[in-house]
Parts: sequence; structure tokens; C-alpha cells
Amino acid sequence: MSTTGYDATGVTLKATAYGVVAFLVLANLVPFLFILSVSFMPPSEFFTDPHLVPYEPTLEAWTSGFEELRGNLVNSFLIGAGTALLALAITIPGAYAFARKEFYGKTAGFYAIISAMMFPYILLVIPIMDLWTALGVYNTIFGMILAYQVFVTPFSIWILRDFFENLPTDIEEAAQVYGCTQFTAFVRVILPLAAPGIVAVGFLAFLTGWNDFLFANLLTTGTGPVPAVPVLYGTIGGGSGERVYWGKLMAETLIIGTPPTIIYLVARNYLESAFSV
Amino acid sequence: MASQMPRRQFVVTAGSVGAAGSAGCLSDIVDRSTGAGNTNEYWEYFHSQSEVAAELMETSVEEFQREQDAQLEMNWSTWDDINGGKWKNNIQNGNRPLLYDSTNSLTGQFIEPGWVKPVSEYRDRLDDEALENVEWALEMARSCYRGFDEELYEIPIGLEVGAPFIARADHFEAAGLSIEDDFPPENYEHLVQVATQLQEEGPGEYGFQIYGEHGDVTDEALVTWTASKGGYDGMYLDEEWSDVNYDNDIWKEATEQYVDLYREHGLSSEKAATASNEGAAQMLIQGEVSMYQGSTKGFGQFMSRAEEMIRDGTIVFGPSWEGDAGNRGDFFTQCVALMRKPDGVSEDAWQEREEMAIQWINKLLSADFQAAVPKSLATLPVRRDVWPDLEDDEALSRSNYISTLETTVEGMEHGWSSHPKMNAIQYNIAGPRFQEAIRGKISAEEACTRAAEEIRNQVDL
Repeated sequence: MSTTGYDATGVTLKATAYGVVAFLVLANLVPFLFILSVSFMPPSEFFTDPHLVPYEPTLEAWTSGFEELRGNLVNSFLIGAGTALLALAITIPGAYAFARKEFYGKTAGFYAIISAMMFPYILLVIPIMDLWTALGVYNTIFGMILAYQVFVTPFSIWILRDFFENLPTDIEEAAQVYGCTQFTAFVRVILPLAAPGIVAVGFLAFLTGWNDFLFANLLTTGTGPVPAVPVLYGTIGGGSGERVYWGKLMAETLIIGTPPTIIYLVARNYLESAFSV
Repeated sequence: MASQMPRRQFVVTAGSVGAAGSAGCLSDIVDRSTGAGNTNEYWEYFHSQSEVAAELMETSVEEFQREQDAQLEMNWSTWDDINGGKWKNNIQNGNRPLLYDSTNSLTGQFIEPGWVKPVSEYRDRLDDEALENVEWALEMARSCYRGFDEELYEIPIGLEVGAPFIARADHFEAAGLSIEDDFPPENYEHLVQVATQLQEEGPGEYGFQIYGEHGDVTDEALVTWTASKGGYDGMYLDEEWSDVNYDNDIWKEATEQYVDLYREHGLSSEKAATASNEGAAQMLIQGEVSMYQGSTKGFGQFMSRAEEMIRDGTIVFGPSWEGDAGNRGDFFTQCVALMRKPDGVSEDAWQEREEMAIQWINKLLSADFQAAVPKSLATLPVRRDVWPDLEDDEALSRSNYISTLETTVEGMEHGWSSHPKMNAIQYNIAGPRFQEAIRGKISAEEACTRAAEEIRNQVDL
């Protein structure tokens, strides 16, 4: 009697767990398959009866989408990579200082930086536009890299500070006993140990620079270095906001989504270590 | 230790090279931002109309650059860039283009501050032959700028005249109607009669599709009816731009008739309140509806999704009825304009660039480009001398597209205003109210009254 009851509960739990997992997988997979399918359909076929396998598959959306995005993808990469590198250059020493050093106003300073995350980014667009124009960095890749630091730096410092805080201090002290200066101990001992956190922060900063629409659209005029996402918005918007080229839209979405996916797969081990801390 | 030195040297060298490289790379990019008035910036909107339009504009720009041995700094923009404030913000921040193209109802925001050069200051530099053939359109386009000091600020390239009826000829035949005799409807009563017969005896589910999407409800069929009945009293703003017209009897009656097609006569699908005119076009292609009244730009949509139906005359266009005001509706322009010289740019340098811009406008007005306008920009070309040859095109003639536009434009005189606040007047405030009427939440009369009151309260006319 008790065995039967145990089995029934176990089976029910297992079935529920599998059911939930299957639902979540399908909820992600079906839209993705639909996106993939539409990207290979000619425009006329999209509006016929719903179907997953294209009747007359074509690469037209992919070729025209890639042709349209080619230069913009390079811009996005430069912006994403620049955002990540500058963020790391600023936040690694900053976070280390907040984690290991004692100085006047440390707590207040930390929360002042973190509080920048509480503002909606759209509040900052107009002042940044004005300031960047005055500084001559409006409509430039460098201007966008700089602008993204406004919201990348706070969360990067937050994540890395916790990382550095959790590393045992005696490792650093031991390195100094063996002849390292404080700086070389930081470079040779602390940084390698913090690699998962650094990679995670770099990845998130890259994603911010790569995926952002608001700053990318408003800090460029269209004649300078336009990133890929505003071009995608143009495909969505069409002429009057209603004429959408669905195949190209889906192809461009997949093209833009591919580089971050590849970077994620390459850095997966580091990222998993970072987020499991 | 010895093994660490090369590594350190490598790191230092790589860092230096990287920094130098970045500086060079970024300084090049920074240089591009200083081009406010120093480059031949062309902010371009036409291309966003369709894939065909994009191809036409891209190839034309390339061809022009080759011919003139000049470089245009293209800003391929969308409706939202103009309507959403991006262009205006950029101009306010000192990033002014040499020229732009757009649709005239969006550009009052640039004309009002004095950024756009009036056509009178450069019309004598335009090509004489082109000018002779577009004179009638320049004359018509003046009605768009009637609230400003000058008569004309932009050169029309194509006219969207509307809105035409668009129908399925095969549905007419199946319903026992004649596409020659019963289409297009001659007046509202005839429309109801034909649409009812189409719905009851034809293969389509609905006889006539209306659309309530707030970006479309006020700017296609409805304003065609009000303009044809009331002239300037049927436009959004009165003739002097001193008040809105939404709450006059012409608008109230037409709105009630429009809403009734769905709510009283049941001639439109339940999607009416949220449908766009592009959505109605798709329903026509699928045979769900038999007729609707929509944008001339629907032609581009039909060509990309149902080219055969256009070529064999299954989908046909017809002009709207002539109303008491003696016209068949209203119009707006696809236009191009020169900007005034910004501060800090020498007169000579600007003259030189302006001369190139004039050559570009001449190209847009050339017979070759104008002949491509109907099938790419899906509007009526402003050069009358290219019209006869267009009749030879199978798609344009079998669908009655060109003949419909030619008939519609005769007697037409009321253009959409280039008022600086047109977006609020035409769409953001009025659109949702008319949509509510189609949903049945408020009456047509109440929608008109509330739209007018809200505009008076919120917009400085």
C-alpha cells in the first residue's frame, strides 16, 4: 500500500517535472522554429495558411538581410567589444578597491555608483545627446562606447566587487610573501581567480553594446556608424509602420542574434562558474 | 624571470599598438561627426516604402554619384525617424542635412523654425523641361503650406491621391455584378448596395472592409469622403490653420457612415477596429473581403504578394466618387527639399553643395525616374508627360491603377497640411477617438467632438 502510494507520488512528480520542462522547451523552440521557417519563405507564402516547412524555400531574405546589415554588424561588434573592454578597464580596479581597500566614503561612494542603475535610461538620452554633441563624440563609435558605461559600469562594479570580496585574502598575502608586490599579486593571482566574473561582466557589457536600441538610435544620425539593431528597427517599421517584410525581419533577427550566441557558447564554462557563485 | 620579460614586452607593445590603433580608428570616426553642414548629407525616406522603392533609390543614388563624381552621405531613414523626433533632435543639435525627402505632412516641424529653403529661392535653377511638366503639381502642392509665409517649401516628386476603391473583379462576377458598371461605387448608398450584394452572393465573407487602426482610420477613406464633400471644411484643419474641423457636420456625418458600414450594415469583419489599410489589402488578396478603399501604396503590396492578380486584372482600382466640393478626395506629396545654410559654413562651400543637390532634384524629376515612380513609390508621378507611356505597362493598365490616379487627381486641390503639429492632429489624438467609435464605445458624433476638443486643448494651433 505504501509502496504504491510512493510510486504514484514519484511518477506524478516526475511527470509534472517533465511536463514543465517540455512546456518550457516548446515555449522557446516553437517561436524559434517559426522564425527560422519564415526567414526561408517568400513574402507571398507567409500570408497563406500557417505552416512550418516552406513550400518554396528561398534564401532571398537572408541574402538581402545580410547585405543590408553587413557594415552595421561591424559597427555593432566594435561598439560591443569597446564597451566590454572599457568597462573592464574601469571596473576591475574599481571593484577591487571597493572590495579590498578602506578609504573615506567607500560605502557612500559604492551606493552612489549603484544608484545610477535606478534611473530609467531614457532620462539620460537628451542630456547625453547635448553633451556628446558639445564634446564632438556624437554620432561616433567612441561616443556610444562611452555612453554605455553609464549603465554598464555600475552593475559591473557590483558583480566584480562581490567576486573579489569572496576570494580569500590569504592567497594574495601568500603571493606577497613569495615576492610579489601588491600589484603583481593582483595581476598574477587575483585576476586569474576572478576570471569567471570578469568574463561574465565582459559578456554582459558586450551584450549591452550589441543589443541596445535606445542609445544606438538616438546617438547616431544615420549617416555615421549605425549599429545593426536600429537597422532591424527600420525593417520592422517599414514605410509607415505597417508594411513589414517578415522574412527579412526574421533573417536579420537571427543574423544579429548569432554572434552573442557564439560568444556565449565559447565562454559558457566561465559564465556558468560566475553565475553559480 | 628571463622568460617573463618577453611576455611583459609583448603586453606593453600590444597595448601601445592597440591604443594607437584605437586612437586612429576612433579619430576617423570622430571626424565623421563634425560634418554638420560640411558634408553632402541626404536624409532619405522614400526607400522605406517598399523593397522596390529601396532598390530604385539605392541604384539612383549610385548612378548619380557616378555621373556627378560626387559623394552623398546617405541617411536611410524611416517614418519614425521623422515623426518620432530623431530628425528634429539632430537638426537642433547642429546636424543639418543638405537636403531631405519625406512626405509633406511630417515636415512642418522643419519648415516652422526656418530650416527649409523656400522653393522660390531656387526654382529657376531647376531643369526647364521638368519644371514645365510639373508646374501643375507645384501649383497643387501650395495648399499643403497655406499656413506659412511662403507658398512652397518642397518639390513634389509623387502625389498620393486618394483614396481609391480597390476590389476583386472575380467576386463582382460571382455576385452577379459588373466590374465595369457597378465599380467603383458612385456614392455612399451605392457603396452599401454593392457591398451588401457582394457579401450575400459573392465568395467573400465581407463586402467592404473598413479599418480603425489609429494610424489609418483618419487618413484614407474617411478623409476622402469628407474632402470630396466639404473641400477645406472636410480637411483636418480649416483653410487658415486656425482650427480643427473634426466636429463640423461634414466630419460627423461621414464618420457615422463609415462606422455604420461595420456596426449597422455588418459589411466588415470583426477586425475592423484594429485593422490597418495594409491589413485590409491582405484580406482582399486572400478573398476574405471583396472591396475596400485604401492607399495608392497598396499597389506595391499587391505587386509583392499577389502580382498575378494585378497583372490579370483580378484586383482592380477605381476612383472614389466626386462629392459636392467637386473633387474625389485629398492628396499629400512625396517631396524633396533643400535646407538653409547652417551657421559656420561658408557661403561658397554651401553654394557648391547646393548645386549638387539641385542636380539630384533634377534627377528625381527626370522622365526616367518619374516613369519608375508608380511601380516603386506607388504614387502618381508629378511629370504629366510620362503618364501616356505608363498605360503600356500590363500591371498598371490591367489593374486600372494609372487611369484611377489620373481620374482622381482631376479637380483635386486640397492637400494635407504641413502643420508642425500634424502628427498629433491627424494621428495621436484623433486616431484613438475614431477607433473607439468603431469599437462601439462612443458614438461617431462623440468621437468627432472629443477629438476636436482634445486637439484644441492640447495643441497650439
